[in-house]
Amino acid sequence: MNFYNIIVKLNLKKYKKSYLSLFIVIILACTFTLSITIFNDSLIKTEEQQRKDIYGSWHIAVYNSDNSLYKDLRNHGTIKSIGKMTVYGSVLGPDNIAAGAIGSADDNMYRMGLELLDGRFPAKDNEIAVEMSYLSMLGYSYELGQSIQLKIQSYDKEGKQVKEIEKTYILSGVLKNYSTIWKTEGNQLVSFFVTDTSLPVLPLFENVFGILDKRYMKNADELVMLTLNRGNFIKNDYTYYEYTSENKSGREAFLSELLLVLVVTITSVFFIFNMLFISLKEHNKSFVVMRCLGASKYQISVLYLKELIIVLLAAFAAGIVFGLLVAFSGYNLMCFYMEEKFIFYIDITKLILLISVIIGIVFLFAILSVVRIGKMPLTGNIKLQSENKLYFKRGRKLKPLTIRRMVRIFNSAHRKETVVYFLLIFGTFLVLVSSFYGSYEKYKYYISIKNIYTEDYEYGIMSSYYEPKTHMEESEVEKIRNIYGIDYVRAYRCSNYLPITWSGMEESEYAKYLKDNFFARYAGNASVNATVYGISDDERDYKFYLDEIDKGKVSADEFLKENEVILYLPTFYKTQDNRMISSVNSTYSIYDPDQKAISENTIRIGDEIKIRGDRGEITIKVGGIIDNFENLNSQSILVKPYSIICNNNLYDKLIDNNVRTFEYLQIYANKNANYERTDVEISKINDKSYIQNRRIKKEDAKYNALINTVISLMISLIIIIITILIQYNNFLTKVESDYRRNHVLFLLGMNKWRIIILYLYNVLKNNIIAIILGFLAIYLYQAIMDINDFSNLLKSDGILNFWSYIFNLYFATLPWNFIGIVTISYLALNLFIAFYPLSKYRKLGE
Amino acid sequence: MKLLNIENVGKTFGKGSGLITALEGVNLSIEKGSFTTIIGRSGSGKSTLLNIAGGLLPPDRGKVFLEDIDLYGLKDNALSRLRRKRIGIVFQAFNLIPEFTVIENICLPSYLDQSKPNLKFIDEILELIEMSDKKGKYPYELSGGEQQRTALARALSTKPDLLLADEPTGNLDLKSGEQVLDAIQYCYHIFNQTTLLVTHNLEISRQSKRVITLQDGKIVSDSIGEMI
Repeated sequence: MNFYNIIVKLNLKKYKKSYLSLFIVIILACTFTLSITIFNDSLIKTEEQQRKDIYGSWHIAVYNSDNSLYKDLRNHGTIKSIGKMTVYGSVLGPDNIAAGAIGSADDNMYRMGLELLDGRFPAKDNEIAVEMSYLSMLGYSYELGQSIQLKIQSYDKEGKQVKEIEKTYILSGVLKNYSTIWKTEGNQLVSFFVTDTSLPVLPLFENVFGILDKRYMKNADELVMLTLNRGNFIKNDYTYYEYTSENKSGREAFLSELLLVLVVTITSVFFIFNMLFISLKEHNKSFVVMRCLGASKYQISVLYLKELIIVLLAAFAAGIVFGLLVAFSGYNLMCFYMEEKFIFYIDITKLILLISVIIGIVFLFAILSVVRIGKMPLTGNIKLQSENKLYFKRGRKLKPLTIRRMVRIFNSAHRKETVVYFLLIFGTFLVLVSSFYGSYEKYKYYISIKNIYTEDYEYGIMSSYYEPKTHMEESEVEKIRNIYGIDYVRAYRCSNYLPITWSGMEESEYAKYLKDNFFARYAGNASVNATVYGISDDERDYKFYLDEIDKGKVSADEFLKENEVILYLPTFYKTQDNRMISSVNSTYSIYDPDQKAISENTIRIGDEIKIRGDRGEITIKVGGIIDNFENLNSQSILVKPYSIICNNNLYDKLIDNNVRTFEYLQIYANKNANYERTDVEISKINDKSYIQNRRIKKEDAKYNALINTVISLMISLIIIIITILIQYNNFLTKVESDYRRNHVLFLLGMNKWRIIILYLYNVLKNNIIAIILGFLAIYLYQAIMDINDFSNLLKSDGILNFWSYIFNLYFATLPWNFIGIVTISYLALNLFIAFYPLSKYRKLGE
Repeated sequence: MKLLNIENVGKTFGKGSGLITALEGVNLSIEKGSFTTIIGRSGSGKSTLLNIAGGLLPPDRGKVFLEDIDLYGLKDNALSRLRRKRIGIVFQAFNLIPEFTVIENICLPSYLDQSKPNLKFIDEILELIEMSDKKGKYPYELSGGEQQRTALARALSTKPDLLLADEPTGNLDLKSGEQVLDAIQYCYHIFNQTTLLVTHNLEISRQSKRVITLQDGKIVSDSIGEMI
């Protein structure tokens, strides 16, 4: 064994304590980096896969097209994979109305999201695979091999019926429902799959679907020219957020990830750098001795470098393995507890890049340490730059050296170390708050999905300030009530804006302001207008509003007898730019710090209001007033001021309808019914384009929110552990580096308690400053995220107003109680950890 | 009048086979206004004795009285207060705070005591030790001798009853050492400062009125002569 190896072996033993610390630190840094990155990537992939499973994995579609377009797209350089669905006709339902399209699909199409629940796609002309909901609709079970009798209509190119065919198929496969979920914009998808030669008719049209090459995903719009006049071109923004108009989710995900990666990398590197510095300090003495004994700088450098390489390589190898293990274990744990699997995804390129960056920087530090040895004088110590380089302020006035002043002077003199120490606190705080806040937001979203949007389908937009655009006839509403799987329908009648007057109106500041700033815009006239909502006699519809009354009281009896109405008068806030915002809907306006709350106080309980409807003016009595809804759910999303909630019979007295119409519906499905069949039935309603399927979105969102919350919490827990370790090391280093100075202070008569207070004051001060800067960083991040939304605001109102707006908006709407708890917990945790190294101060004076 | 009384003090370090007796049965009285030197070879227990005398190291046996106050009978706070007000120490390693200027280092004991430093008196000391023009300098800008003189000024700044100097010239070259010693003696003459100086340098001891010799933790001689 040569000289170097002997000495290296001896030194590894001699400094095993500090090398072990370095070893552990690197493993933790790798674990931290790898597990958080893998979890984050897995989460993103899982979400993306969930969307692909639901909405299909295709990027673009051209509906109502033909085979020539299919061939053109197949040869296009941006297209990775292409599939087509050929529609031959429609299958007639039991009522002889067209139920679903019949056609074929090629193999590629089958891989784009068409999921078989059982069986296979048809291979023979007498075989058929059907969406499960359509089987139910036609009265068939899901048993494979049974005979399915179908009546099929096919049309010629002009849309006139050509043939009606009756045919019997053997059921070869059952598909998961997809045709009511994918993005179609009213175009038709095949629900009954047969072979191309199964029907003696010509194809009506082709629906072509394409998966783009990753490199050209963003260039999907270039295909529009090719498909012009050859079909309806659609981008799948249900699956791919990049195709949404602002891609806020994509931007947010990218920035979140970037922030996470930056903080993880910087924290890890600083942590390791800290340990390397300590190692060099420890070696200093032996280097001096070796120099005195005749070792050259080159020999010492090689020795130290060899030691470092062995330790670093071993540590990184162990760290990578451990990091992967932790991530994989976490994944298995999640799979064990969650009913459905989620994807474990490793972006090899990203991880290699990240780890390479960390390894590269660490080895760079290692080499720099070795370079320092090269600059070592013949006698004397290595210039440990950070230690010897103090920053001295000239001309400082003599002032009492209180603890506060001492801390300021010491921190200022050891600027570099202070910055490193500070950045570690700042970094860990930022990551901790961000991850916990992320978890909190996801959890909040999960709860809101669960609680607020209780309905499964929704017709019309009740939360709009504009007059209703949707009107469904009573007969259609009745049809919906009778649809399979529908449990209950809450139907609202809603008038346009109707002028009202009452005694005392002239004195109403609320009315005066709304006339010019609200009604002029939304009602088209500058009068005071009311919106009348008519609700049914069902207690499920009206009881909520009776319970929400803030002033007065209306009994059910009085409400149903039309004697009294409930008035909704939300408090508004006047803004800097003279806009009115309600306490509920304040997102898009500027908060004025001295904002004035304006309430309607000229209308009292028992007052009469004159309202001019279609049938002339009628007088109604105010029985109750709602200022703001306490319970948030689907029924509380009224937003218009002077909303009058009354019984349908009273509504009929106001509005002259030849045919009763309903403007908003909240539709509830039976939890035990086959919801996919219900989806199909709902889709047949005439006004179906205004019916939103909240159930799918709700289920999707609920599941995602739950997964996200769990993963975020796991990430947060890992971060807490890492934080504890980083901070412990931080404080230990601080105590050790300040030990000599504190020893002198003790010798000069400073008692141990005051020395401890000096140390803790420094800890607290740095933590508080780091926390404040952390908040500013979050605030800045939010401002950047929303900068597109408010760029017009920026242009029209100037930069000061923009920042003032951001300040007021986020600091008024962030959940300060939650953030406060996290912050106080973080401070308490740091102080708790800070106490541990204090045992060293027991030896002061010895 | 006796200022410092050390009664039957003993101190050991280590355990078992590694047990070292640093001091054994040491009895010593220091008169107020006296200049005493303690000499002995390396390892004779001089610094241990000085630390015990300065309230920095509790003895295993015996007592130490400053006037009639039992130093080690006091609680930590009270002892720290006493050390700040009544005992000044000059260390071999200077022990200046590198982040503070000369004047801040000198005023530090007063600030630790949360009292206002006597700047006039401090200026006087600085004048005496020829450091008046270096008030705003930092320790790294001073020579060894200047740093030690600053440490001396710091020790004297609170007008302590007792000045202890532990090998004050140990880290200095000959010339600087002489300057520091001269400064200590000068201050002794001007302020009639009770001084206890520890050294292994015989030459220095010859300049002292009273010389106590320590060997293997015991006082082997205690001679009183004239100060040179």
